[in-house]
Amino acid sequence: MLASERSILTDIEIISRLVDRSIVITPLIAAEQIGSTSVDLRLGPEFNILRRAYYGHLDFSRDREQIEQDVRRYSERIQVKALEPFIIHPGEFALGATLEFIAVPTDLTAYLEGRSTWGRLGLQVHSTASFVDPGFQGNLVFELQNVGKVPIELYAGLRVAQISFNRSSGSVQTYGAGRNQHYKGQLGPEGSKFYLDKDFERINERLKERNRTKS
Amino acid sequence: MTGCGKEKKVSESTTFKLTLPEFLIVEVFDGIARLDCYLDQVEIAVHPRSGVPLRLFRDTLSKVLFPSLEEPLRLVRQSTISAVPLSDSEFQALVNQVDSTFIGVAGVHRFLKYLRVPEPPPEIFTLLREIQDAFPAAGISKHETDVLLSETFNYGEIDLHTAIEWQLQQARILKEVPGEETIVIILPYTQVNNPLMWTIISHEIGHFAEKFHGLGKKVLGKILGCPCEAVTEGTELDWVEELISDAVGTRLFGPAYLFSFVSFTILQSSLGRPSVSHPSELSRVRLAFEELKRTCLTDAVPIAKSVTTKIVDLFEEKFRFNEKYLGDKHLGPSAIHNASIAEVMNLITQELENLKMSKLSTESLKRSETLAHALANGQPVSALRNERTNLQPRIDALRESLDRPATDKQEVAKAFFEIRNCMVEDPSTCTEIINAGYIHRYQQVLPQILDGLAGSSLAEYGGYHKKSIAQVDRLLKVSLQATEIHKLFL
Repeated sequence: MLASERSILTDIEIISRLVDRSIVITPLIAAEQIGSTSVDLRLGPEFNILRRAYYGHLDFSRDREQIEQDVRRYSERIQVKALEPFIIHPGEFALGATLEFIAVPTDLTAYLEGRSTWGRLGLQVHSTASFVDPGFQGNLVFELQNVGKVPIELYAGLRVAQISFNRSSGSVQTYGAGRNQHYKGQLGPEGSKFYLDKDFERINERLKERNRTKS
Repeated sequence: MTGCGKEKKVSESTTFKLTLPEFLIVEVFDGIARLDCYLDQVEIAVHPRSGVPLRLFRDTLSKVLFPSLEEPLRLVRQSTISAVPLSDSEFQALVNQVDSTFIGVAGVHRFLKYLRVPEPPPEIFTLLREIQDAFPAAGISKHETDVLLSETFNYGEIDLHTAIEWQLQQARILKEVPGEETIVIILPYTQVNNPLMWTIISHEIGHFAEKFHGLGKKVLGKILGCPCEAVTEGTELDWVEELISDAVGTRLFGPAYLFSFVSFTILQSSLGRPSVSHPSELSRVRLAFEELKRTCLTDAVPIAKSVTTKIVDLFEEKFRFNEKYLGDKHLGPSAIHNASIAEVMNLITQELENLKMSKLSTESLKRSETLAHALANGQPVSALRNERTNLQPRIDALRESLDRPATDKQEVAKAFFEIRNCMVEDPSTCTEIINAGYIHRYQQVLPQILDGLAGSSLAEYGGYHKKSIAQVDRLLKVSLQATEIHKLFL
């Protein structure tokens, strides 16, 4: 593959892909969101916070359905109204999601990045999940964390992140067609579905075996 | 033909083809699955309490309500395989069983009040604001309105201020309560997460609009040929007020209002009989259909037109069945005062025009048709870009010019920004989103039920269908959320 074939998409290329609908970013509210090699993304109105007072830790040796229920109970979905703030305090962690629904075609890979405007206030919008597989569809989830010293007021609609696209034609496995597809079509800040990983299943089985032997 | 210009043809693949027996089964099946969805909401919202009652409700659904449709389904399958329509007696048996299941669903619904109640979703208030804003001259757009849930399987509205004042006057302790009209809309528990049925809120808000402006008396006065001051309270006035509120719903939501009304009433055994407070359902469906035809709203949107016609045909067919076997007679308003539905609708429309009430446009309905395709792909439908046919050639020309060394950079920038501006999407209205939801429901969701039931038991497929309901509800609600945020930037 030539270096130019792996390069990042430029503004006119992104627009061309938006026109033929191979890239979907909706709602696209303002033309200024499209930068020279990226598109700014906005914060959606839903957040997922941890209900720390209810649970100690997730017990990985329980049945998968029970772990799934625990994860659901461990977190609380909050929805702010238009112009109502979501305040993230120093050291706090919450899941948010893009206002935009994103569809990445199978010949592109996308990268999510925070905007420095917010990073300068201490807001991190992701810590691990910056890579978006070819073929992904859904809202992108923000792993919001305030690493600054003062609380930050967030409002739905703020441009907190940006997405860029790289060519990746030639890959055989696309999101949803093979391995991981737990978050395909996700709407809003979906919590972790680690319990659906094949590897986790094995660990879960081994833990159960170990517990049975002990007892 | 309706005299609205040349009609477009709709392709076979886009039409809604269920027969009446199939339609009745899938509607009631959908109703049971929706009850199950509500139990999920309760479980998430109030866990870990309510565990034992929840189990009782779930068992009632899986072991009684779903299996009660086995015999009607067997009859429909048999008829499909043999390609012979159901006999009269088979059809009657099917309708009786489906009616019983529907009564069972409504009966179980009454006891949901003994479960803890989740909050109504915020998106319902987005829709409510859009409906209230449709009455700029009616003075109700400024009212803060609340939505509550009810165990009664019905919709309603109440002005709490007037109701409390009346009660206190009866108790002779107070003549006047401070404050003003306080509007509360009441929805059945199971419909609180169903954006498609929120269209009926427009009917309830319509009641306040007609009361503020005394529209009922004005319209009835014209029908009776007397001054509105001479019109007295009573059944006729109540009926006209209901028809005005239906006209409000139809004007705002177009086919979606008619669809939700049919979905809510078609399983009832007396479609042609009015009550003291309401005209017959048949009159109301005919009135809504008359309005859609009169305004030519659906004529330019083939899918909307074909589905509307089909749904009204199914409703009329169910009425004819009721009339034949249950002795149901059409005793709607026109039998009382001899005015045709078209005349009544004209009088109502004149009054609503005076209120400067906004209405659904054909352009909006066309957008809904496009949005329904996105819904089918699992995408939210909060916004839509205007289609421009010449964009790709302009982009190609721009890319070519970038490769030429002697290109005028200012010209390139100008061309680029013009193209970039075309990428901006317009926010959908709530009515566009809900009409898209209905087109998707009739094209995809309901036909899939019968296909799905061919391979599994009713209760098993109920669980699967529940996921499909939850996904569409979520897509519609996420769309309503996003459109509200989008409008902040206009």
